[in-house]
Amino acid sequence: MDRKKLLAGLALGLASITALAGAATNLTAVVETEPETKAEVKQDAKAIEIMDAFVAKIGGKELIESIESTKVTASMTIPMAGMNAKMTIMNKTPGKMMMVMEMPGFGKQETGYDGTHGWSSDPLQGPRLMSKEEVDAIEEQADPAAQVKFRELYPTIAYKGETTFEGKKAHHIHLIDKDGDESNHYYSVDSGMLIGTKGIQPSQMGDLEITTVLSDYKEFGGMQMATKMVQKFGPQEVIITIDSVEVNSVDDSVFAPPAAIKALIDAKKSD
Amino acid sequence: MRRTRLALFIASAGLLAVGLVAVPGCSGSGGTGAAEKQPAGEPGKYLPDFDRAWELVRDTHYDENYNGVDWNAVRDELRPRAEMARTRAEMRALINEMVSRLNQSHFGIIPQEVETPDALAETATADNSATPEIPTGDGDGNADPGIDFRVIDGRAIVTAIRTGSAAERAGVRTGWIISKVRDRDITAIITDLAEAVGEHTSQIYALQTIERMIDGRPGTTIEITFLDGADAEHTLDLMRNNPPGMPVKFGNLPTINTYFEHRWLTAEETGDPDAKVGYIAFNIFMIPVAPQFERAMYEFKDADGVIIDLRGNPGGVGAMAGALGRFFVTEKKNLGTMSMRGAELQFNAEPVAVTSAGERLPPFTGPVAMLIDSASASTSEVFAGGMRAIGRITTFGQRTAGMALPAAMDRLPSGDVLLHAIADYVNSDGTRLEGDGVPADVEVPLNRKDLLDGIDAPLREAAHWIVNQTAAQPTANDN
Repeated sequence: MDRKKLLAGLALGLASITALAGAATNLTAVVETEPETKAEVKQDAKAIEIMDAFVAKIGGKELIESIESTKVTASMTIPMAGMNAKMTIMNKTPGKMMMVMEMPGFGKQETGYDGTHGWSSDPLQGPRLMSKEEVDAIEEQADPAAQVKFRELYPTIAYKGETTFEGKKAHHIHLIDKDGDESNHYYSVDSGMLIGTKGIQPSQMGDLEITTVLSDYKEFGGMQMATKMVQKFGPQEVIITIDSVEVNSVDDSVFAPPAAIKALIDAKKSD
Repeated sequence: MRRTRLALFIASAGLLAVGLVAVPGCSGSGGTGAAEKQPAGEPGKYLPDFDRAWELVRDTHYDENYNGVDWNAVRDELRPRAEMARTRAEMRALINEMVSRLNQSHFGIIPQEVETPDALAETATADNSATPEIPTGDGDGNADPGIDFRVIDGRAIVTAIRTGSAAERAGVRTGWIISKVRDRDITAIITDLAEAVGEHTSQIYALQTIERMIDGRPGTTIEITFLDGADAEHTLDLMRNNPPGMPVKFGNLPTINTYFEHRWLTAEETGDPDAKVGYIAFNIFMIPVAPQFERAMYEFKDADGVIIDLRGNPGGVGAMAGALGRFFVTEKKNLGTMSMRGAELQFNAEPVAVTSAGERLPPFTGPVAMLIDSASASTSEVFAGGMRAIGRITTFGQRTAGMALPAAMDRLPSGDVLLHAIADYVNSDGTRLEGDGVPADVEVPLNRKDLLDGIDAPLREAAHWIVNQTAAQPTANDN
């Protein structure tokens, strides 16, 4: 499968009204299980230089690696439907995630990954366990320090030259992870900041090809984070604005699946 | 059998949808009675609405050939008139005319005062007038006198009467013909529409048109002339009241009363005192329906069969098709594909295993009947068409509307909302819903005699089918 993996991973189609499955905090990937076979490493020096420079600009490797957890509150807007939502997204090493979204007219949606089970629960679909592909994507978005681990995560890091991304001059870097899944990063030529990604997000409604535009970097706990994300999927747009970020304040208990999900896990085991 | 009353924004464009939200569309006049009564303002005041609406269709229509229409030429032809439009009502009519050129469902304007009722006064102020006088309340609300009806043999015939409504108190009966609303000849309207757009399509247009005439503000009255079973005339002043249900606001859609009903059919209805047949009906696919549907299916888990009544249901949140389908599939099934410009969404149903409360709930494997008719549209068609395509249901009644384009609802500069199709939808067996609809496996046309006798023929046929299925082949749910 040639699946590109989204870095910001906020997959939401207007029609699906599904989870903002990823964490808004994690603009780069990944926590991965050990590969079954070693992939050939091809990492362009120019690309590595650009990505290292970006890590330095957002706070540096040492600072980012010291972050064990993040709690982000954000607002989401879907202009094409006139819908708004409030979100809270929590991540904790070594790859746990919990997102709660409240959307008027829709209700409360929860998406979680406790390191073993990926799940969601909402008024439409009820309690649901995610597919392996969806869990893989969640895993990749759940590590707060994933941004500094690109050398380990992507055996192939190719510099594809300068391009124009959403009207801005950008360095295009093509990434292939250990599973062969592809993604694309765009770094501003002027500022060196990551200004967007393109890739595919697995979902309950199939694989969604999503372009994410990142902007409005602000400092939280010494780390620069993009506070505005515009996700484009076909003719639809989802706009996410980060309101606040807390660092190293999340307790492990928030990642425990709710009773209905535990019942679902038990039901699947007994089937 | 009750229909959702959304007459305030009924339009010639037909059924409007959003993302996966479908609601009845608005008429060619494009506005409410209030907006139509507003005096003229500056020419070109609402021109930005015209330009934005045109751009939205240009940029988001799923077909880059615009269903064979030269979209640039449409703008060139109509924009001079848009530059001269002096009122909001004129502009709404012009935008509706523009999008009607696409000859597809799910295009039209939702007036701001419909989507946000508080905007009514603002609209009047914006057009330099006081709040307009509305002596009758006609067309300015979705309250109704409590009758549901369908077009049968070219006449509007009462098919259901709401308990406790003005119509019930006045003695109106199913099977009566609606001959006039105030002084308008209803049969003539139906005939004109059938000549204009064909008999099948005219059914839902006629419903929308007549509903718009009947519905209005709560507490006002509407004069309706009926013909009873002996064709004797009864002219009645009927009080309008709000329909039942929970008011739900979803995005840019107006507030919609959403109701849900589930019950066991009686022995009289099934013809078998031992039969256990569950019946589910709801007026629109809105989110509050989903948890109620789950509770109903938990209650019906040991039923001989289940009947889902989608007659008159105009659609709603499209993702609900898969969400409700999960109660009836034992493995993940694809119901269909929504194709947008540059993207696709798969509508999947994954089998239920537990309820939201954590109770075990295996998928229902017994026979499932869906009741459909010419006023079942959009998400109703996605649900019925998708489940039929995978062989999981049998449909009873009459072919659906064939109005099933997923659409978005963008706000225009003036505050009005443009509903516009952004996708096509095809069932998993390759059949397309737009234009064709979902056929009834068992055709059960309504007739006046049954209605006068108080018989719901499609429901009766579906119940008997389930009883016969159960007798012929016990299901896993019997174990």
